[in-house]
Order: sequence, then C-alpha cells, then structure tokens
Amino acid sequence: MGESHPDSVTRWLQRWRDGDAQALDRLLPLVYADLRRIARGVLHGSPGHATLQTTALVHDVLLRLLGRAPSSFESTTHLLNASARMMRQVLVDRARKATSEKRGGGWLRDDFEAALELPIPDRTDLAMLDEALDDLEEVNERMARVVELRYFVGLEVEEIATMLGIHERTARRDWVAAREWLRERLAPAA
Amino acid sequence: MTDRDLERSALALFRAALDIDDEEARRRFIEARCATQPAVRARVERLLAGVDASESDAASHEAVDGLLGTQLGPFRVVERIGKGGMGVVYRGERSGADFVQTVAIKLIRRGFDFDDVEARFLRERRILARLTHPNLARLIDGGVAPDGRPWFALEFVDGDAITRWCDARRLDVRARVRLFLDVCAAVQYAHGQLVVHRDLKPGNILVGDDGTVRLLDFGIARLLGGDEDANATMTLAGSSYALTPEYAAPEQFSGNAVGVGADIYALGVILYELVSGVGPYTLDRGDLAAAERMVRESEPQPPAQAISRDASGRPAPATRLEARRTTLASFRALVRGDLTRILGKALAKEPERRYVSAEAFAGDLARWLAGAPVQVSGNRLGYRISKFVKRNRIAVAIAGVLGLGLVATTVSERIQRQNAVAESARANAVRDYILLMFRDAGAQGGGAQPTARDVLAGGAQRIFSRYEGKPAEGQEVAINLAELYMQLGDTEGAKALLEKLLEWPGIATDNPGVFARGRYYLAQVEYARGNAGRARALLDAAQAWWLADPARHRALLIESRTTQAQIERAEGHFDQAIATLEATLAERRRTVGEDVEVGAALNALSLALSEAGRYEEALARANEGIALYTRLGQGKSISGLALLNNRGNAYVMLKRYDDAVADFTRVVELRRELYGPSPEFAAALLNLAIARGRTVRVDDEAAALEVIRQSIPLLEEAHAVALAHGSETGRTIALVRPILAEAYARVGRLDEAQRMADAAVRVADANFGDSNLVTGVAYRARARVRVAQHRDAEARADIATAKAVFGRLGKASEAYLPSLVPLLNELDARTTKP
Repeated sequence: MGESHPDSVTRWLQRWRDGDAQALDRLLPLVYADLRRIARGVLHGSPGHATLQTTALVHDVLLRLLGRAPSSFESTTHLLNASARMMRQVLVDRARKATSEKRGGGWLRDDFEAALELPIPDRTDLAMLDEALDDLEEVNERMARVVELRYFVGLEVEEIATMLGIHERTARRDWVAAREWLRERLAPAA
Repeated sequence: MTDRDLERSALALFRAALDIDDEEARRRFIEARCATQPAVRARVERLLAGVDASESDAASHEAVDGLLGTQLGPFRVVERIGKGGMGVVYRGERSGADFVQTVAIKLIRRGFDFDDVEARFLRERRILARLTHPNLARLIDGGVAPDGRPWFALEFVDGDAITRWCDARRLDVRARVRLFLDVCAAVQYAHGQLVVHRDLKPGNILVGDDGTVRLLDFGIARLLGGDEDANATMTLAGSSYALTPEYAAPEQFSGNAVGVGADIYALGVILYELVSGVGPYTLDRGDLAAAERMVRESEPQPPAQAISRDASGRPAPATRLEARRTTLASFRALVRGDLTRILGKALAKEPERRYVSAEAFAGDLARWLAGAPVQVSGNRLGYRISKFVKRNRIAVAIAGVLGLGLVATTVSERIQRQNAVAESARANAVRDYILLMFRDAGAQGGGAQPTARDVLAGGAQRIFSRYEGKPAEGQEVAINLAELYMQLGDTEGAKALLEKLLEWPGIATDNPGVFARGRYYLAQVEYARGNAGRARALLDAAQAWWLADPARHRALLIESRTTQAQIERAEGHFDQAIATLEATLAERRRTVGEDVEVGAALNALSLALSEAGRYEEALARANEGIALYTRLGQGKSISGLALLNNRGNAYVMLKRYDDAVADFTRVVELRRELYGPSPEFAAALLNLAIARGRTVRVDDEAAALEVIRQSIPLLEEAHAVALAHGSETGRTIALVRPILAEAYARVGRLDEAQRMADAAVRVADANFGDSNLVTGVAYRARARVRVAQHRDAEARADIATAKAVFGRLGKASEAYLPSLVPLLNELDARTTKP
C-alpha cells in the first residue's frame, strides 16, 4: 500500500538511525508519497493536504538524508529541488549496484522502485538516464530540472511550472523536448 | 563531432525550434543553423517529427488531453473543468432520446495512483451511492478508463463558492445566515446517514444561479456506521488524511478520530467567514505548526472586530462592509451578542462543547433570525440534548463513541468497539476485493470500457473461485456486492449474484445469517422484477429464520415488513398489507421516533390504502408523510418526491385532477432537475400524462384528443427512460406501454399502437398474472387497438379478459370496469349497423 502512516515512518526512521540500512528501503517510498502530497499542497496554495506531523516527519527524513541543516533550505521549493536530486542519486546508485550484482542484464523495476510510484517508464536504464540527464543539464539546466521533478518527484508539468516560476507553456515544451530526446537516446540500439 | 556532441547540439537546436510556432520559420531556422551539419539536422528533424505539435503547446491545453471527446462508460468527455488534490475533473455528457445529462467526471491523476487515493475514490463512490439529497451532489456512475484509472460520474454542479456567491450578490448578513441554513440541512442529512464530511469549506459548498446550495466532495468522508466503519476507525488513528487548516477543528490537527463535531466546527468557520469576510484566526499558510497552535490555543476574534481586520488575499474592510450592504456601526450592532455567542459555540475548542448537531446549530440561527431568544448558553443544554437523543438515538450513540455526546456513551462505546473488531476483517476483505476488481478490469484493457456494472459483473464471476477455501469471507463479499448492485438500481446484476450466493454449498447451515439476508435481498429484487410469488417464498423463509431470535434481528425484521407489505399488495391482499404497515409504523415510532423511515412507512401505507380504495385515508397519510419530510428538511429528497407522487395518485382517485397535475408536475420538474432519468422519473411522467388526460371532460372529444397529443411525447419519454433504466418487466414499463398504445390508437397511429399493446400483453401474461391491474390494463389497451383496427372478434375476447381481471381487483375494480363500457358500446354499434 502507498499509504503512509506517520507511525511507520517514525518506526523505520528509528531503525535507520539505529543502523539498519534496509530501513531506508522501507522509508523512502513512505516519505515520497507524502513529499508529493505536500508538494501538491504547496503548489496549489493549500498546504493543508498533509498533516502537520507528516510534514515534520518528511522534512526530518529528507534533512537527514541530505545531511544538511534545516536552515540551509530557504523554501519548500528549494527542498523539493534538493529532494529530486537526492532521489535521482539514490535510485541510480541502487540501479548500478543491482546491475553489477547481476552481471549484465538491464535494470528492471524492483519492489522498491515500484513502491515509489514514480512515472519512470519500465525497463529504463537508470544509469544511462543519469548520464543523459547530465548531458541535458549541460545544454539546458532548466530542462534537466523539469525532468527530475517529473520523474523523481512525480509532479505534473503545471506544478513544475509553478515551482520553477516559469510559464506553463515553457515547462511543457521543455518536458516534451526532453522526453523525446531521452526516448531516442535511451532506446536500445536497433 | 562525437556522437555525444551531436546529441547535445541536436537537443539545443530542437528545444529552440520548439519555441518557433510558424512552421516555415522553424524550417528556415533549422536550415540556417545546420548548413554544415546534415547529421544534426537529420536528428533534429526526427525529434521534431516525434513530437505532436499540439502536445508541446500549452496554449491548446485541451488538445493535450487525449480523453477529451472520448467515451467513458455512457458519457462523452466534453471538457476539463478542474483538478483537485487527487484527481482531474471533466465535464461529461450523456445523450438519450429526449435528454442530455451533464455530469462531472472525476479521474485519478496519472502518476499519482497510489492505493490510498484509489481506495478513497472507491469509498467516495460507495458513500455517495447511499446519499440522496437535493443539496448534495449525487453519484451517477463509475467505471475504469481505458488506461486503467477509475472514474466516477457525479452530478454536475454549476455554481460559485458560497462566500463568493454572497459577495457577488451583495447579500446582507441576515440573508447570508438564511442561506447558511440550507447548508446545515444538507450536513444534517448526511450526518443522519452516518456520514461525516471532514473537509467542509466554501470551495466545497457551491451555490447555483437559482440559489440552490450543493455540497461536493465527500472524497474523504468516512462512514460513521455501516460495514466500513470499523475499517475507517482503525486506519484513522495515526494516519494522515487531508485537512484544510483554516477549516480544520483542533482535534483534526492531532489526527485523532474525527466525527460530527469537526463538521460543526467547519460550519462555524464558514459562517464566521460569511458574516465577517475573514476567518476567525489569522493563519500563516506557510507555517502549519503555528497554525495548529493558533487554532488550538487562541480564542476567535469577535466578528465585530474581525470586520475591520485586514487579511491578505481578502477584500479590504470597507469593501467587505459594502458587500454586506452595511456600515461599520450597524454591522457591529447586528453581530454583537447572540450571533457572536452562536459562532463561539460552534467554534468551541472541545468538540463536546460545540452544538451537538447541525440541526441544533441551525435551530439557534433560525431563532436569531426570528429575534427569538437563542439557547446557546445556560441550563437548557441537558434538556435539549436529552430531547435530541430521543429523536436520534442511533446517531447520538455513535457520536458518543467519538466523544461528542454527553450521554449514552458507555453502553454504545462498548457495542461499537465489539462491532469494530468483529467487522474489520470482513470489511477489509470486501474493500480489497472491490479494489482488485477495478484493477483487473483496468488491466484487461482492450477496446471495451468497463463501467462499474461490468466491473462488478466480472467480480461476481470470480468471487466463487477466489474464495473457494474461505466461504465465510466470500459470502460476505458477495452479499455486499449485491447490496452495491441494488444501490446502483441494477436488479438484474443483483439477482445473478444473489442466486449464486444462495447456491453456495453449505451456506444454509454454515452461514445462516448471510443466507437469510441473501434471501431477503433476492425477495426485494424479485418483487421489483414483478415476481411476487417467488418474492413471498424467499421473504417468508428469511423472516422465519429471524423470528427464531426476534430480539437479535429486530432491525431487519422491522425493515423487511415494508417489503412484506409490498408483496402482499402485489398479491392483492390489501387489507393485510395495510395491517402490516400500520403495525410497522407504530413499532418504528415507538422504538425510534419520527424519522425518515416513518416517512417511508407512511408512503407505503398511503399506497396500500389507495389500492384498497380507501382514498381519503390514503390522502391523509400522504399529507402526514409530506409534512414530516418537510419538517426534516427533505421535501425534495427522493423519498419526499415519492410521497408527493403518491399523493398525486390519491388525488387522481379522488377525482381532484388539478391537484394531481400540480403534484406530478412538481415531481417531474424536480426529478428532471435534481436526479436525472430513472424508472421513478418515468413513472412520474406517466402519471402526469394520465392526470392531464383526466382533467378533460369525457364527452369533450376534441379537448381529449388535444390532451392525448400533448401526452404522447411525455409517454414516449417515460417509455424510453423506463426501458433504459429499469427491467422490461418492471411495473412502470408495464403501465406505460398499454397507455401509450391507447394514446397511439386514439390518434390513429395504429402500427405503433399494435406494437406497444402486443408487448404490454406479452409482459403482463408472463410476469403479472390474471389478478393484477397491470394485466387488465394491458388487455384493455389491446382491445382498444383492435377496435380501431376493426378486428372486432379479437377485441371482444380481450375485453372479456380485461373484465375478468378487473373483476378480481376488489374495490379498485369500480374504477376500472366502467372504462370497458365505451369499447363495448362502440363494437355493439358496429354490429347493429346494417
């Protein structure tokens, strides 16, 4: 279930603090569901779409993951941006590890990734996606942000536009262009 | 140039090209930039070709949405009208013979379909199917879109948020309070159905141009009672759910179990805002922790001062005063004192200090409007609560569990807890199964788009294999699904499922409770399908089992008496039906008090009295029921309209045709406006046509023909609607057909007349038998058609059959036998002619 109970978040957070590395796998999907809910709430001008505890817990987890002090985030937007980066990093690391463990063979969605319910197409090679996003960032940083927020936080294009403070039309073109470019780039060589 | 460089150049160029709308200019741009790089140019052109031009263009957002113009179930998706926290909302339309039904379709957003959101939608669908009130947006249908997203069609509400609506019309404070009473009535109704809203806010309360209030979005409401209750209570503790800080009660911030009291609080905030134009607190939207502290700890500012408060995003104080057609001095004089005290009580920090019900809140407001002393404070509280408890025992018992009631908590709490534990496992099984059905249906994909009914039907097929080793759970799922079918008005679907349930090996001995309930439901279904005989046998068997332990099954026994009386009426045992209903009515009044069920019993009693020919008594009972519904604020509810319809019937029998036409016209108008096409709407159309026909004097042939001509479209609409929304063997269609046949015959449309009459006789013979009014009317209609066709011998045979049937009706035969005389006269006149 994608439901997130502050209780279980607290429990996994505790276990993670206690050194149980696996707890992170349980924690992230829970936190991400809430993160997106908060993001949507913020972007739609009604921060009430998550309870106070949820907000606090998500912040807590993210801050710990990112290893920063709360004061280093000037806004929720900033926090979301950082989360998108972090999520990308976590996922790609996992994918790389899985690939090396299995010796070849493309990376497939595992339970963990599925639990995040991110709009990343099945059978995406995340390591290649990571590299492609680096290229994208060099050409056009904004486009890379759009893709990250879309794929790794699951925001809608309109929401991304609001967040980045750009026109929705621009965000949509960024998204469409990046997606098309990535699709070809990541397609298995014919 | 390396591959990677090429890709980068192509990407930069591709993105820049997308910003050029004109195709020719775009082509020239690419040409100029790629003069020496054919590989890049080829890559850019391929990328551009891969992008649908419309897709990149936010200006034509609608073109991006592939759903527009497609069909979801019976509805065509017309436009996107908004999006909420968890879904997109479209306007959809369904076209029928003579109507266009507009609905709001809610879809879960792509990319956000977590289980809990999906579950929420399903819950909303379930809850709404149970609620029918003119001030609540009604659930119409549901299904799964081709891409697997569940969708729900709700009544389309065209209106403005209540706060905006009042400002736009510059309503003064008293008019605002009066409008607010409608909101209270709708909330009270929902609470009576054991449903709390939990997210009431102006955006969920829309007002139409005609001033009708509609409440939306029961998406996060949870049942206070019923089979989902335990489940809801369990997941509530410590779970996160949506709330809007401005309207959330203090207890909602801590995630505690939330009940009626939270809605009362939200109502208080909304009224506060309607009165003063700002909320009771200045909340910082960016800081939820501070918001919670504020709501928990500080007292609301008195409205007399709040009117002068500047709030971001709100009109300035002067503008707000103007929108209320008042001055600062007179506003302050008006709101000081009682109104401020009333608001204070609704906004109390502790739920138990708030009004115990929306009705009680509205009561004080009504007294304030009338200038009567309000009952906010003082010693009368205990008296009023005890009176309330007498009237609403069940609701209060449950409110008590949630810490809202001051009385009767200990006992009900214990019972509630036992139920919660016992039922949570089964409730979960049901919910999981329904979720699974929707998911399977979505996964199958393909061209066909399953509607809720398709999904349920597919699920019914699989229950038996899926729960093979766990019969108790499977049977629970099956019977709840059957209930769902019945709520959706799909008697055929319910029948198939119940038949299979009752055949479940071992159910009669291992699970006799569900077996009895299954028989009872099937009895209702068979009655609705016109099979009174089988209905009787099933009901007898169910009641026999309940009667083995009547104290334990009292509720079902009382409830089933209404079905029993319906069957007795269908069997022609009118006096028995009346006796049954009078006993039920008395018992209900004695054990529960005056509630909607009493109104339903009065309605059934009025019908039975009518059929027994006791029309004056029928009229009196109907009036009694209508007064009760009006008192309960439910004059326009489905049941309220049913009573009105039946009073019209009584008027017809008492030959007060103008009164009848007035009642039926109102029913037709309100049903068309509020509830859309349904078998009952068809019946109302039919009745209106009949009553209009009776307003004409029998010997005024020209006037009669004119009325018949006017009635044919009504009857045709009734026929089409009854056929589309009910069983072919249902009573409405069985009555529409013969009357339409006679109307066609009278205006010379003989082929159509014959088709209708033949169909009517066929259905009557097969389903209604030779002592049913329906059968007599069918034969009379075919006789009329045959007279017009000059098939005299066959016409005489039909008249004889009709006469025999009418003769078995007892007192009611007096009204029908004479209608055969003109037909016989016409035939006799022919044969005596040389």
